[in-house]
Amino acid sequence: MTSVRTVPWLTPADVGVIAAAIVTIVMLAGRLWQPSAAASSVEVYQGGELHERIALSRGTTVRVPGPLGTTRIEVAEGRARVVASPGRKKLCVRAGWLSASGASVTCLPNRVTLVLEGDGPPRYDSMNF
Amino acid sequence: MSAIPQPCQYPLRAPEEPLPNGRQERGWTQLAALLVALALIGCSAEDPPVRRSQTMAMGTVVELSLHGVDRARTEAAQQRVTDLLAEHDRRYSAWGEGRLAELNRRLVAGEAASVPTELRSALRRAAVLSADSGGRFNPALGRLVELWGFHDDEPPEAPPPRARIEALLPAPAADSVAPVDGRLSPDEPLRIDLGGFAKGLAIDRALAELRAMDIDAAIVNLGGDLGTIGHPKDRPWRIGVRDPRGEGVLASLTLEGDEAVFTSGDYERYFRHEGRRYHHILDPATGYPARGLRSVTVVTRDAIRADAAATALFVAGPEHWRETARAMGIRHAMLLDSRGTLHVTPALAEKVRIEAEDPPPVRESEPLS
Repeated sequence: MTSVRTVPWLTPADVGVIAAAIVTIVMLAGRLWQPSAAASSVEVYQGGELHERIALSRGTTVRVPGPLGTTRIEVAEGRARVVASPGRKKLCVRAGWLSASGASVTCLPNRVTLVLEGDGPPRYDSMNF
Repeated sequence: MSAIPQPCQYPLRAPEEPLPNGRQERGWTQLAALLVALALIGCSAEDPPVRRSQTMAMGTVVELSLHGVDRARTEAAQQRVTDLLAEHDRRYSAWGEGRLAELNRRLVAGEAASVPTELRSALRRAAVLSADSGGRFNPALGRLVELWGFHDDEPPEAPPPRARIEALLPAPAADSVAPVDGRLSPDEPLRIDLGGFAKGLAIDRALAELRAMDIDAAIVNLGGDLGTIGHPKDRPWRIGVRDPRGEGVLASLTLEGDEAVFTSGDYERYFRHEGRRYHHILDPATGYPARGLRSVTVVTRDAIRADAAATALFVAGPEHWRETARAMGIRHAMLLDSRGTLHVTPALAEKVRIEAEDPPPVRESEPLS
């Protein structure tokens, strides 16, 4: 019996599967290879030492004692902010809600810092101000 | 004849002939699995771990971000940087009990003095940068700073009397801080203040310390001003610039590595008196806070130059910041003026992305080189 050597051609079904796989890769790229914008937790530092780590999914208020008094931090709906802190300028209060991983704010007079952390690469590696 | 197809006997099918069902389904599945596997392989190329640590030094928060460094080396690096910054503060603080403060006590009394060896290089560098800036960065403004009270932990509540400000003008020239044969011989009482320069010097030394530990991807952030080594695997650094107008992030910067980002702003240290804001960045020409700009952000490879340039461009104001930037070799700068317009140089425009939900008007300046 003589072999019939012919080139296999892609069928419409083959094309469909390849297209679906490419779409899958593109969607994965969109999720997995881009910086993760949303944070999942906030780390609270006092005087350079880690005071507490809080999941951003947990709605709560945290009070952090410092050399000048108490810094009050609110965590809600995937965000965190400083609500009140001793000090005249209130720069850390004015910074408002933080939500991106890598974002941070410092209440320098009371030596309290918030740093947002997330899964995957942070949106910001560091904050300039 | 065997029922199992033998090599070279298995006929390659014509396009119109379907494979037996089992083989056709395995072909689709294998192809799809291969493509998804390739995707997953790509996904496994993750960033090395980021170890971020915080400490206090020089009266502010110091944050180290180290990429691809194990926990033991991270702790060692943090300790070395903390020790270095504490020693740096003791050496370069214009007030207190350190080496520069001790020198200042003699200079402010109008006495000639021998400059400690460990201060000479920094003072010479400060004098050069001051000359480059046309005197807008001036390391000899300590008596004016002291008069205003911005050196105290608690800011002042009112400006000093005009007559007392004018008595300290003109401000000492930049070369009055440059040692000659290891000595300073001021013509008048002098207090050296390296406030517009010392952070850059500290970050420069901290980065050198980390490089000596073979750390090749790091950020040293000292109270919001920062310098970088290298960059994370397969991506640039991403830096958020706080909005000087209030809440949130104004812009993000992408850095390719070995760059410094310094911002001078009127919101850092200030007080209000009779409805007017007085901030700490003094204009050596007038003795009063510089006017016209809210903030200046400079990006350049040299942290020391970045620090001095951010101050100098702020003092130069909307009229003269371009010529000052050119004179100091700065191409990457971003300025928010007092009317709320953001000016960005073309070189920095390639690295910056506006992130503010309520963005300011943005104007790209002419090229600086």
